Amino acid sequence: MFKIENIKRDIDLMIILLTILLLLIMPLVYNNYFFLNALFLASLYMISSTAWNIMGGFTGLISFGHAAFFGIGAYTLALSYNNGLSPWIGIWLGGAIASLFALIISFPLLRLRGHWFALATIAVGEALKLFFNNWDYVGAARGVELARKEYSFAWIYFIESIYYNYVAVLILVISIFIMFLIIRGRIGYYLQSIRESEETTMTIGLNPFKYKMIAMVLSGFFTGVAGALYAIRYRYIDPFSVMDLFISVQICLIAIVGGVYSFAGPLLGALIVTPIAEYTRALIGGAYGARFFGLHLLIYGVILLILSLYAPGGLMDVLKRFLRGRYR
Amino acid sequence: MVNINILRGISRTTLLISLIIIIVVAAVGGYLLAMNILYKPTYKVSEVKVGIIQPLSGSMSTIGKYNLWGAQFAVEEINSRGGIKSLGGANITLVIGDSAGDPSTAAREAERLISVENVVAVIGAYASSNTKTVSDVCERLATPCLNGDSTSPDLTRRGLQWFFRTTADDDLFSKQHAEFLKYLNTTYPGSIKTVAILYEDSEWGSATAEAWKKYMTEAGFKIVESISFRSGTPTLDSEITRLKAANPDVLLVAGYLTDAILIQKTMKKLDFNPKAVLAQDAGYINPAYIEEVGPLGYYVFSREVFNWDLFEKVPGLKDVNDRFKAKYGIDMDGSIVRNYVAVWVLYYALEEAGKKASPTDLKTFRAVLRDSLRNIDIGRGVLPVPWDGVKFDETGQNIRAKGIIVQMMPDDGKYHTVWPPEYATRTPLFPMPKWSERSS
Amino acid sequence: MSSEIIFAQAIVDGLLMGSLYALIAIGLAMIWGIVEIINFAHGEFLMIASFLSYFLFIYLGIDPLISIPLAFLTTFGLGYLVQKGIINRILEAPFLTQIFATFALLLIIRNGFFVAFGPDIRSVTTWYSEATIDLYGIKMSIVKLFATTIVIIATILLHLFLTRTYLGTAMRALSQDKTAAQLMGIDIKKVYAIAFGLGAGLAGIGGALLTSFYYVFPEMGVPFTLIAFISVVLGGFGNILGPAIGAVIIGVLQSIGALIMTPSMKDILVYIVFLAILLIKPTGIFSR
Repeated sequence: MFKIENIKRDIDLMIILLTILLLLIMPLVYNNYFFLNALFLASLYMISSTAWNIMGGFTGLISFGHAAFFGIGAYTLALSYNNGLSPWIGIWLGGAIASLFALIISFPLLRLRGHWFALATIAVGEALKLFFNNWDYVGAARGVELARKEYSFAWIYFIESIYYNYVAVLILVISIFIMFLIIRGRIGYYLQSIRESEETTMTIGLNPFKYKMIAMVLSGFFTGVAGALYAIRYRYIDPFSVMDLFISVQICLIAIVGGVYSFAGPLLGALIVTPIAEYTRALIGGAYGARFFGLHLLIYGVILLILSLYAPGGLMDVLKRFLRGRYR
Repeated sequence: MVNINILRGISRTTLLISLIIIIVVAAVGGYLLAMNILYKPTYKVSEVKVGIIQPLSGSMSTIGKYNLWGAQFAVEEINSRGGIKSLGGANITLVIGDSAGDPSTAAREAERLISVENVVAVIGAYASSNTKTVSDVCERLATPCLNGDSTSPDLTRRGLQWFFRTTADDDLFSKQHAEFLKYLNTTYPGSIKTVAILYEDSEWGSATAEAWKKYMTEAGFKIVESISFRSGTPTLDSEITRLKAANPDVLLVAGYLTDAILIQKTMKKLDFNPKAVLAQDAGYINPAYIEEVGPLGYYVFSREVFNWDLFEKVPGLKDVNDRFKAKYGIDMDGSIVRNYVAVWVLYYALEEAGKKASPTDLKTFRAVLRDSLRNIDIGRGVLPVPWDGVKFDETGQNIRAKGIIVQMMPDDGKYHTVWPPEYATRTPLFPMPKWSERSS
Repeated sequence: MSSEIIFAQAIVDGLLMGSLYALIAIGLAMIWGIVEIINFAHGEFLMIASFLSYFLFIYLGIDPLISIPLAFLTTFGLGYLVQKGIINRILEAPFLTQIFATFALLLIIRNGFFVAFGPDIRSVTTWYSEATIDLYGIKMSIVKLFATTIVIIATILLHLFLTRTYLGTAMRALSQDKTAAQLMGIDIKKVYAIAFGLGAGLAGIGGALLTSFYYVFPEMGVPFTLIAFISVVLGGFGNILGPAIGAVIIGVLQSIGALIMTPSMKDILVYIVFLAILLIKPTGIFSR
């Protein structure tokens, strides 16, 4: 048993390292803007889905409202950017404000369990979206466009797309390693024991509420960071593009495809789902989209269904079961 | 067994794991590479590639489809007439990007079209929020961006150097709405004093409502109620009830297709009778709306940039519409014709640019094309639209663009042009009869 | 119009719309309470039924109200097959995987319809589409009155089914104690399939009703699904009355919200009330 745990840990770490290596090397091997975009989106979702996994996978708090954190991160960056703050600070500020929001909503939400918690997060996300859509200070429905600055590293504004990829990798490395250390550390084990049984956790003298709150704040922080990355890349945000339920669903979908009980699951998920989604849209949506509206989404759905039927524990689970079979 | 020294000390476990990981990485890498090999842009010398981005999936795809038809139809006509003559008759090829109505997807598609498909210019992208990101990408990657169908006034107020818009914006349209109401007041003195605004709450509707408030107040009309709603809402009962209570002379509406049908249905249901309904195109001029709404839509005024009956006034228009209808089975509408016209404007610029550069040197050609667009000067009567032609100011806005006002007439259920007088084929029916007084 | 009439009008509109929401919410609650799965594709079944009754009207001239039984049977069959073919195979999978499967289903059904019929908006006009009854100045749409009547009938029938038949009792037993129910010899997978079918069928009735006054397009289910979720949380799924009352409350809230605040904010009111109730009574106001 101990040995299997060891292998698990090794696999997670190795997948992290290899993913980062892949993200570093592939843009140089194949400098195609479309491909770079797919990789950028993958890194964005790697951060946010791993963050989601802290709550959804490790603590068992399933959220469909992560778009709220994502959107707050994006809005914070956009507004601070337009007010002259360096985006290098803005990205982390985005995370900080998102985690503050997570802290505030954690008080009421953490009283709920299971399905109810999940649905309450939908309500929080949707309500926040509608609120932003009517809030004039943040541009309401008209959204916020990032001010045009000189092309420079300081403003994270580049002509060549490849630089955005490396900014994303940098943020990804920092975020993933902080999250990895936390999950592999004491807090991570507490969170998992809360998922298994809150009562047991309490008997050993821990306060589950406190640790669930920590999970939410952490998750909110890094999802906010991912949102800020989105804003700096696409330079225009509105409530319906960064706070929509679809973003929340996408974030958790990727985590589920990859496997929620492993740290590296979301990385694997993002690496596979995002390029498939992008390529099917461009190949089918572009060429035949005029005749077959929605065909690429149909194919996307079929792939997801097959995965959920034949790899219900996610790809990481398949990998681990394979290894376990070998080493019992 | 061969004894390999290097492997001594490494457990079989570690070895196997490393092996599996190498296989996984190779598989993922190979898969990504294979995706790229499968995905190869094709570029022929005898063609000039133009990108078009429209919402082709998702809730806006109804309109996206029509917009695409308009552009495709224009390309067919240009090619069948010998293509771009200054480039030796090169054909225009449209490369399609699907924005799905999402700003970031639109941006990614713009990057793909520009840097992977090597298009000379990008046309699009209908929703103003999508046009924002597309034009931003075009600016960054130094590619002309021609917009024929987004009307948010913000778009040309951002200091862009590569962005051009052929259509008039909501600011101008709203100003014309106020002028039209004043015109109605000259025929029926004092009949319009109050207006109410009903608008969908996304960027387009909000911007329109803002412009309406400004120009209606300037023109001396009193705004008695202003209500926003979510596009696609299943019921508008309370909203219309509130409007009915405010009892305006004229109702100003900005809504998309589903909203437009619902508004008309609810107005009849709740017996709300303003003297006139004046719509800001979009849903109200969609061919699907006209098909579905029937007698419910009679007497409604809408802003338009084009109307089928203009062929009596605008030379060449009837032919275009007949050919279009033969191919696609519907009459052209404002969205279709604006995309049709955008492609033609780009064609005239391409002819000019072709004299100075070749698309084989893409960077230079794009810059030359931008300059050609800047200097373009198309007079009245060349394009099948009731404009004074096409000429861009320094913000990229076509200063010769104009709108018209149309009204759906009860005798044939079609929109007829009623304003401005030089294009009018009918006199406006005002005030509209109450629902209870209508026969059907 | 006096303000009392306006207010009364808003409440009546809300009640009528709410009763339609109720039908969809009860369907969702059945699937959720018995099969213990959150069905993201719920609105898709509504859409399928709506398309069906639309085409029946266009090609065979069958009135949308008459095609309701057929719409119910079709969506029931589809729901049954979905449970049998897909959900039953992942009953043991984590709760997340199940959600994920219904989301995949949503993508497949919705976009399948996009591919087959395009994104166009269709609508049906019948003689009663815009007809209204005037009651002390309050206008009530006849078609929505019909809908409300049908909703009430369907709810009573469902209640009778759940309390008076073996199958219904089996369902209630399953929702209370799965293991005990299995020990009593209940074919759990079959009962699940029927429960899912019934839930989908109720959404189907809602879809057919909508055809006569709403419009038909592949994404039409979206707002209804969201409202159904909220209704179920409001009302809980202990009995069928809970989600129904939850849905009616939402209908009225939306209607009054649009009257007293910026209408596009009306949904915020719904969410706020929803969150408030969730926090006061985390398992729904009408659950025990």
